[in-house]
Amino acid sequence: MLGWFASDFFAQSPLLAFPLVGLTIFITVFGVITLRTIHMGKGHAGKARIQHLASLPLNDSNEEIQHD
Amino acid sequence: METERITYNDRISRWFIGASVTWGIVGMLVGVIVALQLAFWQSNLPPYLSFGRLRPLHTNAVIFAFVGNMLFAGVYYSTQRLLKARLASDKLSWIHFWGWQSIIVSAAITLPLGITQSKEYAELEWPIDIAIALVWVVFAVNFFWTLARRREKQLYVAIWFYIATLIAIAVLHIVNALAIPVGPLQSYSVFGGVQDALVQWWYGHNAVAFFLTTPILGIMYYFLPKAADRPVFSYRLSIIHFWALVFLYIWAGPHHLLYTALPDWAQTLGMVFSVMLWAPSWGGMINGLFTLRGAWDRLRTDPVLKFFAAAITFYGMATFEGPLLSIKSVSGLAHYTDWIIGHVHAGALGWNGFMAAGMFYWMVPRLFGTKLHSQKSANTHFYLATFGILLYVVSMWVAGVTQGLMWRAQTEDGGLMYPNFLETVLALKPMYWTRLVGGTLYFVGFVMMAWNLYKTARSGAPVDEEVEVPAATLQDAASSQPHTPWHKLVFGAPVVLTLVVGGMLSTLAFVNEMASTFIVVMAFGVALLGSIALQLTRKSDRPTWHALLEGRALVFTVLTVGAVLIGGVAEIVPMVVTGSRDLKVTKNKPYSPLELQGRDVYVAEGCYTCHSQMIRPFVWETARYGKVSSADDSIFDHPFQWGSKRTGPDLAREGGLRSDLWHYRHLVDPREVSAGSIMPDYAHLERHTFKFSGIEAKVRVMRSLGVPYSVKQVQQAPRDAEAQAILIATGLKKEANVEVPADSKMVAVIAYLQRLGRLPTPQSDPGATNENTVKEVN
Repeated sequence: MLGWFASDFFAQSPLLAFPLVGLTIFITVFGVITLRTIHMGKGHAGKARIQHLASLPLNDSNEEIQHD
Repeated sequence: METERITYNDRISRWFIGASVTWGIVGMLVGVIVALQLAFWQSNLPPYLSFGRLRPLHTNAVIFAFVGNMLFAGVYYSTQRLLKARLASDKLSWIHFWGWQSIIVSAAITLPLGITQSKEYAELEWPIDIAIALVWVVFAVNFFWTLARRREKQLYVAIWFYIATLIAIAVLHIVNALAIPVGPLQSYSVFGGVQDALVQWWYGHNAVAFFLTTPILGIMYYFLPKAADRPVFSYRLSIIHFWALVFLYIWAGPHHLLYTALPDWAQTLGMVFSVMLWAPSWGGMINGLFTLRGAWDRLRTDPVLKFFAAAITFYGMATFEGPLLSIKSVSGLAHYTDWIIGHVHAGALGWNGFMAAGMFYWMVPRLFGTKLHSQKSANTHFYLATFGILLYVVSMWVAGVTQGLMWRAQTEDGGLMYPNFLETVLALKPMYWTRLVGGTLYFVGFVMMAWNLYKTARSGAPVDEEVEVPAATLQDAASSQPHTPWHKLVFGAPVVLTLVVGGMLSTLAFVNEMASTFIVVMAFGVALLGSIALQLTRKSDRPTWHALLEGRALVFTVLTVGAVLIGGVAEIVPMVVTGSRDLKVTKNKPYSPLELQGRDVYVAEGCYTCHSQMIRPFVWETARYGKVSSADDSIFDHPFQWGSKRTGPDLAREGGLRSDLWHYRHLVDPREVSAGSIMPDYAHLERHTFKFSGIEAKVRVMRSLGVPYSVKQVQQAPRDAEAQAILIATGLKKEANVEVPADSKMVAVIAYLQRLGRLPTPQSDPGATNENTVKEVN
């Protein structure tokens, strides 16, 4: 099935491989960078810094209005 | 640590919210009216309140008045709190507020009067454009000044998005608005034809990106954690979200011009970057939705979270649909149809409208020190608006796909199955009525919110929050802290790696396919190995490059400018450079002075809102409209008139297809010659006149833009225009005893329509000596 799909797809033009290669490269690089970023600042100082930054909106005011 | 007590300037946010809600009602009401005009043509009230003039008013009002004021309210409120500093200047804040409202009022007056540049979402004329630039600078000065006086060193992700907004909108607006004035309320774009199309959609798409998306994402990153009472799901993911989004978005504009006369390389760039955009957009959506983890139960009762959750869902849906529509084969079906209208409104009503509602319901009780007047009303608003959006979007999907399929439907012998364009219009009428119902429901919900917010404000009193903050600003503390030199950040390892990979990929424009493949593989390898090397060489006891960057506002801004500009420069500069070369080899001829005058009438009436002038390379398009449009066809069009929607047929090759009398009758009463047409009548063009003497200045400005008029043609323009006008008026009199003043706008617009897609006839070019035949433009 996949073989038939591939041969039918590329029968139109072998150049159709280029967008697929491009998409694969993009997804790979994007994935690697995402993983790297997710893992950055894993040390104690890094964790504390990230927690501080992520909490900035929560620590910026005095009052809290309660909804009914 | 020594502290001091400061009071935030919350008054400015209250005023911006009031303005946003007020203009939101106006903009959405006009939206309901234009929806009615498409379903029921009799509701057009020409000349000032017909569809062509009201549609730009609707788009400008909702984008710049409703969302604009909303984002200013949110930016000012959150920026002060995230930076722990009061706004730098109250005076600048008020100049910003009143300047922006004056611009909106100017738009509300000029657009119904037909004073427009016809560039979508950038219709306002040059004096207003200058005012927009000045007010934006005031906003930027106030923001960056506050940034310089902050007490919180690290910039939260919301601030990054605000910086990108400030920079990108300034660049987009200034470049796209470049024009030469003809008079106090008219100008011609310095770009023409295909260049103008590219610049306009670079602007148009990125107005969506940097006015309707990035600031609202900043607002999401601030207000959603507050409303959910938990930090953002992944701060690290927001770094990816930000940089990938601001870098990729700016390249995507050409997806509005697929299958047009825009060069293939630009179309492909637009399509590829649009598909890539899907990844960071969904990264942001996931980050938003996962921030609600553990708070989902509160959605049942809390209208703020309901609106936020639905808004982020609509953001995800719209940012999936956008890349889908950018794929060429999908665009072939969807472009010029109502599908695009549905897509736009999923974003505008679902993402922007719901984010605004959530933010207002959260902010107003706090800004007035009270509780929301009616939770029940807010919940009803949510359900009404959601149902309204669904009706709207689904009806437009059905209409768009129906339209696209009917346009391309062929009979067994290869002819068009629906050769009469009106058949495809009439088939959509039920969907237009359904859209009207959906839009009205949304509007009713919005009015309910306005009432609820008003009652909330009335039940409390204005509160400007006071907080304890560190006494010293960062400038005061800077001397006592270790400082990373700016060049180590600007030329840090991640930037150098990005530049190297980007440079390698840039060479693809100059090499053959084999070399391209090799370079792509090399670039991929460099990116991968570089990332691994960065990871391995990082010292865990030191802050990361990005952590250092987040504490340096100026360096952060410089890198953001770089990320935003690369795409625009890469696409626009080559087009502008080749533009002057194309002018030297064109086979086209400039418009006659009267045709130029008629073109201005076409622009003023907003004909481009319903008619395209771009025949795409499809059999069903050439069978219906004629030869495929080329870049040369519109080379003298300042601004271009390719359009983006076909409520009526394409007009690129309308010239010579029908008689002057047919056009006259059609404009006076479209239904007389096209039974069932939903076009408004333009009988007023017969009564409205122009001065032949005024045409000389128009031709002169066109000449200064590179349109090859001779000095003699400029000087003779009024006489040539009058001669051509008398010929047309006399012809109408002879043919059907119709008395039309030669200096009427009717005569001018007929001259323009008869010129579309063909070279001048001897009648339209009094100086010409060619044979009296119609020639198609090559």
